[in-house]
Amino acid sequence: MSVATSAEDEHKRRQRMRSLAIGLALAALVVLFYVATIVRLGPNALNKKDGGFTSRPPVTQDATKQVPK
Amino acid sequence: MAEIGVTSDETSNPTLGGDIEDYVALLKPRVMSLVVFTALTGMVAAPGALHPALGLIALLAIAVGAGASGALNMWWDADIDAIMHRTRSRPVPQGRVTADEALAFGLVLSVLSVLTLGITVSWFAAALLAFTIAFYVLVYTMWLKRSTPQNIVIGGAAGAFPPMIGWAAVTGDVSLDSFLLFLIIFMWTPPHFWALALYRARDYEAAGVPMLPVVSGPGETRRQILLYSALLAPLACAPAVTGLGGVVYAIVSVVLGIAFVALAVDVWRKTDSAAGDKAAKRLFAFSILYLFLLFAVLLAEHSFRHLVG
Repeated sequence: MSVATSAEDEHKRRQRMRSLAIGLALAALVVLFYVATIVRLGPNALNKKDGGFTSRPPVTQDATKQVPK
Repeated sequence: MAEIGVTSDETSNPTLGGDIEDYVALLKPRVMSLVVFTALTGMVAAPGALHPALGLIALLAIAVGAGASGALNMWWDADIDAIMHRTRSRPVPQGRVTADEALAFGLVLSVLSVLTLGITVSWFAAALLAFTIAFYVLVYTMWLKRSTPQNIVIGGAAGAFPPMIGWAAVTGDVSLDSFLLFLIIFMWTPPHFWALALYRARDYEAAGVPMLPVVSGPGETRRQILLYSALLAPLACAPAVTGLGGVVYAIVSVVLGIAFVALAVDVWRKTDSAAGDKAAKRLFAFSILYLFLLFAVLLAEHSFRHLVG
């Protein structure tokens, strides 16, 4: 195998490894934000009935009165 | 940025691009591990609780932020890294990673780490992390390192922030106790680095870095090491007084403090070149163990309190 081909193969291998590492890092980031969302919002984040908003405090009558018309 | 002096090395070939391990080296993994350890101690010692998953995410973000600042440091310091024995095998001076790649890598990771910590855990902790990265890169690396022998005294603050960031990730603020953890690392940094600089003075001199032994000589450096060690030893006992540390911490901090000062006295007394270098190497090695043990005891005590309480 010539030196030039060997260098080219090595270049491609490193490029592939870097691409793989970036891909894995992005996938890890997606998992990380998913986990953080579930932890912060609670399991109701996935509840379609109320859109995952059951963890929010209910709006009181007094609070609705303060909304400017 | 200063001119980069690429050393000749048969294995270096910039056209190949960096390997994964070169990018890992840019993150300074050993420094990163100390940052993770001290940040974890800050998180566990802080009052209150953080969900374990969020705690892990916070630690990861702090670690990546520390690694990013290491990459930015290597981008800026490639010229002097190429001259010094300790740093000449780093990826940028070896030409395995270009300076621009190191800069892009550091910037992307800095932004990602700060945003991740802010969005998922605490914007206050994220602001502290951003400040720490900026302080290390702009204040220490770009400004102080090449301009004053007090570089590591002031720049040492960057390395002292991680336990405070870990604390802030849990409580959302800072307190006297988290400031104490900051102060311990801040006061520890000068004797730690000056001990190294004493037996690496020629390296720093060749690179034009105005470390204290280069500018003021080994005698003044030994005196300053002793002074900072004498201040550090009682300061490191303070957590036992405020209640942050327990009985075990009190005993360990006193014993280790006495040993630290004794080794600093040894460095101060031994002015002979060979014996002086040996004493400095001993103090340098012990200083790492010293900080590790202090934080390990705090971590163990608070972990125990969490388990029992």
